[in-house]
Amino acid sequence: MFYFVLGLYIVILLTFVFLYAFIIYHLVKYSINASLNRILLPFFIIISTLLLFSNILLFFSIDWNNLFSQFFIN
Amino acid sequence: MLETPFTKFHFNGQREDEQILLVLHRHWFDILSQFFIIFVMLLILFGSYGLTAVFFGNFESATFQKLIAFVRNLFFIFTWITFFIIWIDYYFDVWIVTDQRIVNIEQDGLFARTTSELRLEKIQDVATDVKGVIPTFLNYGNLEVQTAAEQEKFLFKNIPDPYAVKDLIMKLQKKFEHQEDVEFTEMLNKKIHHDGDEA
Repeated sequence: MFYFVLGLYIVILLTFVFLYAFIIYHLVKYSINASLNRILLPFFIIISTLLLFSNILLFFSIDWNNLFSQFFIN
Repeated sequence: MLETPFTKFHFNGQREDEQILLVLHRHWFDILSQFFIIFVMLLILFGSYGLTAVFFGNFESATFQKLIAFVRNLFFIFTWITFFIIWIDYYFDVWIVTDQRIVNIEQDGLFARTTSELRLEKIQDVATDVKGVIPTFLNYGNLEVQTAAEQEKFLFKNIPDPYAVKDLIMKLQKKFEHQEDVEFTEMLNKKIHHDGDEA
């Protein structure tokens, strides 16, 4: 069961990373205002990285097998 | 070159001798309705703190608390990405008026982007269209630029202060017309004098 959840989570994670990459690509390539870019790009990258890493940490902090057994018992 | 607020701006395909005079995005009210979905998502996120206690009061184990924190974090990432996708669609949808042409860059989500341009000398007519109570009150609306060629109209959609933009475009177009007249007269004078000298 854990591997099923992990597989699903990897798909979600990759979708997020793919969208992050596209957002950064747009900001770098198509922005017409360089000064806005200098603020926005680091802001977006830092917050996004923090969110992603905190999410990965939270995912692996959960005892999925224990959680499933709790659900099935309840 | 004139000093304008857009001196530091630069777009793909901008010529070296080309100066940006105006950069226009849709009016902020237009994006407000799209940002409403972000507001709702944040409301759900913060509301979940109260709702989990009500609906899942029996699940107080540490594992379950971690699961809730994980789901909240995932939802916040989703909200964060949605916010930026909406913002990119708004901010990268832009009309640029330069001293030579009008450039329309249309961003449609993250994966579609079209660019079209119109040279100032091809402009025949400019019309504004402000309809409704809110657009009238907030002074925003459409601006339509008609060209001599049989191509589709150039439409500035929901831009702020369309009347001022219209004035600027008309002024630029008149300047261009006058410049063309002067150049034509000079060329004609040169030709007359050249022919006269030869005779």
